[in-house]
Amino acid sequence: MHPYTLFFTPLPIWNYWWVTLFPLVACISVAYKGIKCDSMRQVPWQAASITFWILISLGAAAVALSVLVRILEK
Amino acid sequence: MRSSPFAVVVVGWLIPGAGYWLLGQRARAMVVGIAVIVLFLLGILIGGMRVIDVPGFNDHGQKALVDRTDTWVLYGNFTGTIVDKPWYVAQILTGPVTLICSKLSVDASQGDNPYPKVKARIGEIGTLYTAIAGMLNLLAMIDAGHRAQKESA
Repeated sequence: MHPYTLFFTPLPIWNYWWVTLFPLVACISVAYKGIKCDSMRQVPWQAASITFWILISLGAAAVALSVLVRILEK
Repeated sequence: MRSSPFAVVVVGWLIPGAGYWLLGQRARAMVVGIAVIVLFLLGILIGGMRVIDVPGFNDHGQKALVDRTDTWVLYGNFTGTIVDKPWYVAQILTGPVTLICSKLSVDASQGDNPYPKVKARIGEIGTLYTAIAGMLNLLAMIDAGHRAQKESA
């Protein structure tokens, strides 16, 4: 068994894996808007906006699926 | 000086975002390049180096598909080795940084006390991060190439 080694052993966040969603969505938004926006001045606001809406949509989808599973279980 | 679309795409693969730099769009190059590299490095940080699962090697870092003389025979089933590890196709699009990490990953899987390959959710998330970094870099390469083509037309 190896002691924790940066970049070689996984980050010990086994019970907090959902936290990784935030940097993933933020980086995708920045890269996507960096490619798409005509002016780079628009990127920070547009990336923040799309990050917010992706997270809201994911949350809504999670709640909807959770409700659906509970209904199907009955 | 105008850059050819091909050169822009190749440079964009070598250094994420650098295709835009060739076109003089330095702010865009920095934003896209840093976002792609950060995403890739976060994937390695979260899942460990072995999220780079190199085709042609087994879980113990030994060459898979060798003949009787221990020579690699990837050409015999090249498609099969890629189909077994399709996420590597996306990861390699991030550029030579994936090749460096591939070497480190294979080295980390060898020896008496190898670093384990994490198959839990954290390993999947790391693979997802690195694969998405590659896909975003592909998008940037295509866009930069398209912009170069429009400039040269």
